[in-house]
Amino acid sequence: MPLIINIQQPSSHFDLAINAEFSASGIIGLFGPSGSGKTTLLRAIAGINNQSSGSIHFNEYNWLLNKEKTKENQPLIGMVFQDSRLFEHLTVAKNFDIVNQTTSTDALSQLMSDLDITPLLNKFAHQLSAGQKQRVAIVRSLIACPQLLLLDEPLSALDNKTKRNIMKVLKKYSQDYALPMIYVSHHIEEIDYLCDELMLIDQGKLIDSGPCKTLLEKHHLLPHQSDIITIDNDKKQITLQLSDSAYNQLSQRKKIKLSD
Amino acid sequence: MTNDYLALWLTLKLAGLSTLILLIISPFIAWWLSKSTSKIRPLAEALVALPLVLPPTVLGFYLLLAFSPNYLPGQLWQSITGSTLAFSFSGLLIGSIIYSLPFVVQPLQAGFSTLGNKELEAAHTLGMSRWSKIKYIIVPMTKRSFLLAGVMGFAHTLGEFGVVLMIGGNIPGETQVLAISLFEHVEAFEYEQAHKIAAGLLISSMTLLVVIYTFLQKKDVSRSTF
Repeated sequence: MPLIINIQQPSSHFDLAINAEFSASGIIGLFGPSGSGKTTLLRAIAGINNQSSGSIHFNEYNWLLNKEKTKENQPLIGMVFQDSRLFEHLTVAKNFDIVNQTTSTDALSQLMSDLDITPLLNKFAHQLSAGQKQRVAIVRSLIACPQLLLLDEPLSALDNKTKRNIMKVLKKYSQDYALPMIYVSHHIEEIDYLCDELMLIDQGKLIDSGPCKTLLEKHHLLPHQSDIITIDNDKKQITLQLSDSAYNQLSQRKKIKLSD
Repeated sequence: MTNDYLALWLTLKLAGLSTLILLIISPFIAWWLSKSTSKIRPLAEALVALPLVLPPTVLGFYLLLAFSPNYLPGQLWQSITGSTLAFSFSGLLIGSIIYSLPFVVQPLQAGFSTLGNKELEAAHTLGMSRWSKIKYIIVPMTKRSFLLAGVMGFAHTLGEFGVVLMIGGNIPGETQVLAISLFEHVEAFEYEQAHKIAAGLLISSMTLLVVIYTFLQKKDVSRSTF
């Protein structure tokens, strides 16, 4: 199942120009510094960016961007936005109902159970917390049965426990239903846990792409590689700048007291 | 039925039909005005807003000319229907629609502009059809604007005078609306009948506006409590 992306988009900051190919059988990570063009790229793939040009080849589909006549040949590309974008005037149940549901009832029940959505069904979207909204947004995207799901920093506003739960569900769903995903995050731990392939971009250009683990090691991005230790002899003080995973591991040791 | 009751019926019929037609055509105009980046948009906006600033008699005068059989619109109408557009209820209806257009388009345009693109982008990524987007997102999220547009269009048509007088004249049962009937009573020094019509128009317009603004305020309060 190849995914070939060839996208160009001029902008005032930089010109986005991405040309990459993936096997697209699992989750593709999209990693880069703030303002590197990650969201712009996702919006272009989703077809909600009219200034983009280029083409996308995905499975049996092959379509040009910004060409009205080819839009009928596009697969459904779902997207989970950073700000959830639920329809706030509707209940959670209605947010699901108005989407063309092609997901099986069993899969939907399992999904709602995994993400603890059932108690929220009768609440209006504007009554939910940020974490609840994002869980609902993920379920809503999945029940539309997209052929490719884009996730734009969907967990950025959530606590670690909720993050872990959602990541497990995403990984399981991608494997069980062979749903390819492109996952954008600033957190390398999330990328490391979730992704099979990785695309590194900066200033709108592709820096590197390939298997996730290989690229993380090659670019010294693995969580343990990004920990920084500073020793100040004058103050007799050791400063550790730790990744989330390293912090969690160290904080479980009883003899070490850590402050944030 | 006396002329005043005929005028009341005609006024309600004119206001009701004008509002209905305006609520059908205005969303398309308002949507285009709120979303378009075309260079001719300012010209289109100015044309829609023109009745707000133009003396009604000016608009009425040009409509009267256009409706006469000497000009193309009037000729076309006559060739299709066999009757003249000027001094008829149909002519009055077309004039009312043009005159009240900004009162319906502008609240809708404001509502559509506030709506933004976020929800519509989300709907696109969920594979929702154009009709589903209109039914479940655009109309529900801008229903206050639709309500306000409908009430403003109706209330404005109720009080029409200048345009109606120019293109419809004063034919009882055909083109004589309440505002013209009032004018006729004043000219004939029939102040009691004039008072009844004037007070009726004042109270009904005020009541309509108070009800609508109270309703909108309650909606605001109920939203802000969450």
